[in-house]
Amino acid sequence: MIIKGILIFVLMLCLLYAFLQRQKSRLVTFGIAFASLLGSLFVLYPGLATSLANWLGVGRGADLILYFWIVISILLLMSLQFKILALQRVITEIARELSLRSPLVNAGLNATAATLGESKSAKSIATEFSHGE
Amino acid sequence: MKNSIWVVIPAFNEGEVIATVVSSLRKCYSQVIVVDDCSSDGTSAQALQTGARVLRHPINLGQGAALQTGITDALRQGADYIVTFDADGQHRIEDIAVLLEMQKQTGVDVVVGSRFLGKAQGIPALRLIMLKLAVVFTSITSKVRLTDAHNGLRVLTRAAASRIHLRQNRMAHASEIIEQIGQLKMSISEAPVTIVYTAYSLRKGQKMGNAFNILIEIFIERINR
Repeated sequence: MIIKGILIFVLMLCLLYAFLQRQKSRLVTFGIAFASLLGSLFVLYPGLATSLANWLGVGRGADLILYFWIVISILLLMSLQFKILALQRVITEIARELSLRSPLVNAGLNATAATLGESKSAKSIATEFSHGE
Repeated sequence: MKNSIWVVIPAFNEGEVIATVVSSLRKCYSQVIVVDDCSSDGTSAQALQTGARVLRHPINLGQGAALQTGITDALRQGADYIVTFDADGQHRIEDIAVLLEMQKQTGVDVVVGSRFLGKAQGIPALRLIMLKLAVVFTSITSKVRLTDAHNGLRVLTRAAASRIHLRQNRMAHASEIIEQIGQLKMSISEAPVTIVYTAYSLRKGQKMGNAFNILIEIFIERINR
């Protein structure tokens, strides 16, 4: 019973997540919502899972649930990936605006370029940003 | 009033050649923007010395992002025509005039160079194949028919440039720009240009694997819409 409680709780969190995501990607939202609700149904009525599993040609209800679980996980990961891409876009716009507002000026050859960016901290941020792709 | 032409050069670690490229350019076109994509070899200083307007990204974003930053800046500077030009010396300055002339004659929104209408001096065989494949790919995805789908030498009118907004930060931007031109139903034509493959530019050039990365990035962008 405890297990059922935990599983349902986690699935409800997924459902909530899907609801919060609804503006980002409709497909992902529906996918997660559907899988969460179906998963919850199976947790509550395992017999249902077995019947459906047999009908689909899968051995056990537990296997079916596992497969659904995998699908939910993949959809969640995809959703996260899109969020990351959106973040990268925002970062790009900010970095762009920074560069547009401070054009380099030739006030003593190397001095300006050196102070403006070829420093260690800028580089470490840069490595993280590009490796995140 | 004379039309304002701005040349935009995205650059990353081109310290070796940027000074030459900019100073040759400035003999004919005084308004040059170099967007330094957070280089670590003094590209900015070199570009500044030769009189370019220099913007510097605080982090490395990619050639596409640098190009968009340059285009945005050129528009803010009041450009009527924006020329995109590579930093590695592969483009010939004389070809800019060819593109500008074509724009004047045809009135199209965008003119892009084509090395296959012109010349591709010293092009490696594999590169040639990849570029031809890119042409096929681009004509399918963007419905725009070009003979050279990956040429960095372009002329954009102010109106066209204001409507384009590149979201692909890295190499896929070249395909994205054509795609947006197709989607926005803008007119585009090609002019013959010469691409010079020097040892330097080949060293710095696109790796074969990048084509695959570009495909993935375009695919992800499609899903993300």
